[in-house]
Amino acid sequence: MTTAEHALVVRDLRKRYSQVEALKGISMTLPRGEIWGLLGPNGSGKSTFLKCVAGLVKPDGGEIQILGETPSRRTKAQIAFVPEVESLYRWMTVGQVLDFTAAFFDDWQPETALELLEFMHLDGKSRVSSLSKGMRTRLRLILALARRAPLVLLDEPFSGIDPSSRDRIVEGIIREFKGEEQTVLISTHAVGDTEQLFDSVVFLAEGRVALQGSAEELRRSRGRSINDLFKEVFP
Amino acid sequence: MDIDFSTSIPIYLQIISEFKRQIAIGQLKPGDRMPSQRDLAAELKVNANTVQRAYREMELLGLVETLRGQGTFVCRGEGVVEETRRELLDSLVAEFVAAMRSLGLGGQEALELVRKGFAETAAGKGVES
Amino acid sequence: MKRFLKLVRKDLETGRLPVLLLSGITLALMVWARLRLVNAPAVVETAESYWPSIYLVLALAVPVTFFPLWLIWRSVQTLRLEWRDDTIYTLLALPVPGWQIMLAKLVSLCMEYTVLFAVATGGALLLFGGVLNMGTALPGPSWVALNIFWLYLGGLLLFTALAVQTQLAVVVGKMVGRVQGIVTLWVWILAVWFTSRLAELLQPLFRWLPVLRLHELMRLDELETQIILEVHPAGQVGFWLATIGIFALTGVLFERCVEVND
Repeated sequence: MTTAEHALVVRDLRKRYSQVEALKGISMTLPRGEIWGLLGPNGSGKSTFLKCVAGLVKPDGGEIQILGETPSRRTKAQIAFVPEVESLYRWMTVGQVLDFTAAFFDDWQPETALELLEFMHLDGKSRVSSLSKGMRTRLRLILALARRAPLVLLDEPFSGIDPSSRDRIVEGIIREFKGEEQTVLISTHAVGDTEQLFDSVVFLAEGRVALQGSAEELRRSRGRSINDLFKEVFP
Repeated sequence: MDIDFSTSIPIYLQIISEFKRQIAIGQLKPGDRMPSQRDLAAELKVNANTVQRAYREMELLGLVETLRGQGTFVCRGEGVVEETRRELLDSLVAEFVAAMRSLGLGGQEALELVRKGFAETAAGKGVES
Repeated sequence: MKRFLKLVRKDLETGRLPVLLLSGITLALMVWARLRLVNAPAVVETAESYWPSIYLVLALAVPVTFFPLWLIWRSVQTLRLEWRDDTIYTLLALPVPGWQIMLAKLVSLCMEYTVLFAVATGGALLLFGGVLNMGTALPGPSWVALNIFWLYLGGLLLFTALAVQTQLAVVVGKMVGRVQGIVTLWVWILAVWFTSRLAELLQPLFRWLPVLRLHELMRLDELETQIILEVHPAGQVGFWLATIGIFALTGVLFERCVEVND
């Protein structure tokens, strides 16, 4: 365990794809032991930001520090990243997916994984290709929650799935949140009824930070729920 | 326990109000064990840090006490229920008075309406039962 | 090691069905050709060992022409599929060095090669062994076995080098946003050119290395004059240095520069 004060420090992060400037200088500091919401409409740069932190996309400029270290093979071991896309090998069974992940991450907890499997109503023997979208999302979430990863990145875990899957996922995140030793960053384009998950929120608009702060403070000072605030910032 | 979080009030304050309400109406009695923070967080689908903050505030307010290794309990102190009840009544009255004022009603008129309201609901209840 | 085996197992899985299919087609074609041979009257009688060689050619057509192309295509596919199926997200999030991911793919490709080679030679020996032996004076089964082994090894090494070059081409292709196809092709041509150029350049430096005479190893008494198998290590040194260099470069590029789709 490292003793860095912050789970994630990002300074002036920039990323340009051939046509679009996806990130135009993003800065944020995530302390340990909090759940953060990365909020913004589609195309605001949320995914690109998470991919940069996870090391799946190389930024053009700026600085990223994960537990005090720049992104590398070592930081990948500290991060549990659940991308928005279907990233699993479809021929694998649910059990094989868990085994595969367990082999690569030393912080994997087999008992937690089994508990989560039951909680998420998944059968170890079923094939990934036979699962519904909601089930696959639940499975991908297990891969992150069954680890004691210091930094968990969840990209749009609530989008395009049935309400019951969504409830399971919200509850799963709350149940498995490891408190002080963990920081969770969740991106979403629809705040809805998930706003009570977040300690703090960052609003992204067109590759820039539009607003950030403690969720409770924002509710108090703005007199609005985060969901209403979101609708106000992104009409 | 059920809270509608769509409002603009900080969530930890809403959790505290809910517990105050339960204590005031006797649903939670002095010495009762409070739900564990983790369970409550999962039940309400609320961040565990928020629940922790609510419990910490309630401890500071003298509503609950945490015994090491045993959990959190509603304070046994005599005054707790009474005080919470009073506080709840005060805030409801304050809210009511403000509303009446804004409608241009004086104390006497408002009281009259309250009496009438009580009489009607009592009558209604009588008919029902 | 556990991690590496998981990677190999994963890569093998994607090739399993196509390899089985290809093996099946090969064997079926061979059986068909063999049956035609039996029915051809000229086979057994003539001492000149005339027989309709067209059938043998047909029988070996798949292994000879299709397998090498297939294996090159597979070495492109094993990488490309990761992007197409979005599994590259899983792969790039793993805390493993890039070269291990590449090596796992090479190992699984070599295993595919081995299976296909075994099916092709095994099928050929079983079905045509009798026909081939007729009239010719082959030194015996151990000679055949050794020949097959050298053929296997030679093919394996050549194929591995090609696969390494292909991997670099695909990885560099994935690093550019547009014209991936053209970049891939050019990098591949450059890699092949570089490998052969380095082999040529270093050859004079390693002249002192002894030439390996395989026919001596095989103790070919009767056919010594006709079949001379020699390996010149002098030319091989540069070839393999280039290949190892390309492999290392691919590993670094995969770990440091490659991105998922946007």
